[in-house]
Amino acid sequence: MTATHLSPIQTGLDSIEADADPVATRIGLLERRLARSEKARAAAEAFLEKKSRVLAQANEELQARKKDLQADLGLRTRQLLEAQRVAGFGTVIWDVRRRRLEVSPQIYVLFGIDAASVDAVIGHRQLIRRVHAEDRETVIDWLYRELHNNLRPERDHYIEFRTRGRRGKTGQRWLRAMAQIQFDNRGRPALVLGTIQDVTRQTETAAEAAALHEREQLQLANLQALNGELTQARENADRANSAKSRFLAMMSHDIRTPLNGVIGMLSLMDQDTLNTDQRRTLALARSSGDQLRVLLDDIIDLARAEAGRFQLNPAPTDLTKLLSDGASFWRRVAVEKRLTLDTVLNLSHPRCILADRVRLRQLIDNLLSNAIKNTGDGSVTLLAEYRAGERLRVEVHDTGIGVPPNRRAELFEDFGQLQLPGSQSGGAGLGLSICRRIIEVMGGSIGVDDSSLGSCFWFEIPFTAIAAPPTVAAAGLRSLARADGRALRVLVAEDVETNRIVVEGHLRRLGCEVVLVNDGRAAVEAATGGAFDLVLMDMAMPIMGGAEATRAIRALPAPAGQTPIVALTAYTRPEELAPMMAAGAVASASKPIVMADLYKVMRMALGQARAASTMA
Amino acid sequence: MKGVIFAELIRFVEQQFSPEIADSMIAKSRIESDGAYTSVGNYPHQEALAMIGALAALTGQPASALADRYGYWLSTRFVELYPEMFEGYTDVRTFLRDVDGHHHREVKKLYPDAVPPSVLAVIDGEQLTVSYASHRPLADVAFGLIRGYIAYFDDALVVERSDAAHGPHEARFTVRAIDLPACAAA
Repeated sequence: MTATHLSPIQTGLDSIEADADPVATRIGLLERRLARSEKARAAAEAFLEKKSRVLAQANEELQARKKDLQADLGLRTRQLLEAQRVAGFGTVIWDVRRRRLEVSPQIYVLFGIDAASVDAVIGHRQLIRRVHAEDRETVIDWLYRELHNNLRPERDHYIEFRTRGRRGKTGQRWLRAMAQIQFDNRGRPALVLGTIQDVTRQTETAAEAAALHEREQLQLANLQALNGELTQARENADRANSAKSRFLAMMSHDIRTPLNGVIGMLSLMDQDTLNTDQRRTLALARSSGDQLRVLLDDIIDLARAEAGRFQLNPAPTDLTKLLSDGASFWRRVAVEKRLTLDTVLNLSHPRCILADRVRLRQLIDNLLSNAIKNTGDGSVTLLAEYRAGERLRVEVHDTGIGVPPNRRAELFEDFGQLQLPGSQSGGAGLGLSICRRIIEVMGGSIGVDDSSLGSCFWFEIPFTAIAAPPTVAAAGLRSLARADGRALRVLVAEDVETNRIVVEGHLRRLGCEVVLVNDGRAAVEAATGGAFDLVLMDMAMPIMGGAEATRAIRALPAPAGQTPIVALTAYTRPEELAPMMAAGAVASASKPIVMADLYKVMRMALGQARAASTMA
Repeated sequence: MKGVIFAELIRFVEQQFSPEIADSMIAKSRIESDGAYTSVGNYPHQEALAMIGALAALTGQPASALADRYGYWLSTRFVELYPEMFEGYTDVRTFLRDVDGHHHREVKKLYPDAVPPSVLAVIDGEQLTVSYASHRPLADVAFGLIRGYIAYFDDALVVERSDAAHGPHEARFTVRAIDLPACAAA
């Protein structure tokens, strides 16, 4: 600026020398120019000074900002490197033209290179050398393709390869390299931006997962095969079990039928006039028959229990009477062995409970018969009382040989009869195991303890108290007759001759008029015009079964169609009785026929029929 | 307006006419700054218009012709003062295309308070159209500048001016080849 302004001044001075006349004018001009220049310079200086201050301040601010940014950058860099370390990946920047490689510290770790051993600048050859020999060529090919094959710059490309292990396979890693190429404005590769990530775990996990999957598939196939076998085995077992049950039902009936004949005939004979020897012989025969029947019942019960088909039929029960009856029965046996049988019953409240009478009696019979059997001398005592929580406890004490504590558990096993010195052998050893199963179904417990002189067998069961049912007036067996005093007319349908004779004998002794038929069809024909008061109907008969005959009679017009029908059967399972009851039978009596039972059932059936006709 | 335009205007008059005429022009225009301009300062553009008006009166030439002549002369001064502005350019059309987007942006960087004119340049084939618009009525100076740049790049081009209705605040300049066959041969 100064030089440019001097030049006109020089020109002016030159002019002054050349021409003195307009000197004053020139001087004035130059002075004004000089003043303008001075003024402009002063303004420029002030401006510059102001600008300098602004710049200095701006510089200060920039320095502070730079410091902040550097600190921030440092922090972010550290965070990035830490993130890389944690994530197991590193970054690589390859300047293609300058042939310079820049790597983040994690790259050394990934390639297993000791960072201290590397010069200031690491070369790409150093990295390539650390690639597993088998993968090296692939990696070099990949790099070459990435750089030279006109790849679209925005697309990512990756390759996975192994590094060399330090010793053998130790330290070998799987790495995944991804590259993005940046091209210059002539389309030549300028920068390669790459990330390298440790994918060892993923690769191994994937391999393990594949292996695991394969193992699982194999196991699954094995399991499926096994499942198929098991299903087949179960079906076979079910079929076998079903066959066994059918067999048992058949056997039960088939054995019971002749047995009933034997026992029934013996019971009829009992009433006849016999001499003393004959009576003894008859008593032994009856006893054997009874034993055989008990054994048969036990085997059937055990089979039922095994099949899980033990069913309870709870009914209002006078416990005192049930236990007294049981004791009375066994007292006779005890007396024969010169034993005493005492009862201590404390069961006044409640007098009546809901219980399966048959099973309860079975329990009492088993315990009492065992006690009597195993006691040579002394007494057997039956105790019963209620315990807190609506539980009934029954104890049978004996003065027998006792049971050693370590052998007590065996007592309750199937066929678990103990062979102890002094013990009476006999029976199949089923009694106590059946007791255990009954008690289990009842939800109670059973056991044996030491008694003062022998053993104490006991059981405890829960019960439900109920109000006592109205007492049926005790009536003599011979009072079974019609209201008008005439004898009852009873139709008996039974195909087995011995059974027919037994039933007929019992009925005649009760003063009944008896008509016998051999099958269901004959029963229906007889019932049609027979004016019977009662029908005793066997279940299994030729030509027409009991259930069908019952239905046919029920279909007859009144009064024949209303005749009470009692099922008479050797079947004892409730589900076996069901068809008869469904067909219209009002009660059932189980063979072998015991006269007292038959009397009770008949009274009940007749009572119901009378009540029904009164109401009608 | 930036002081460099005023300082260069005085220099233009001193060189192209005489220091006396420049002195008289300043005195005659009665401007507040009294002609003491620094290139870094900002001054009202009316002072430039007043000086050109005074110069017209002193020389008897039309003000628009003087402004155009000043613009042409100013282009050569820009080449001297700001050679970096011309770096990398080989033809005037590319240079003019970048005036608004590049050169004026550079001006704004150095002088945040500067308000350069809006110069929209559109290249259509061989032809370039430059639209000038400013709150300052200096379209004549702009015309001179464009001619000066064409001369600098030695392009065989011609520029035509078509003024808009708003007078010297706006103008459109069309730059195209003088001799298309000759150009093709080159």
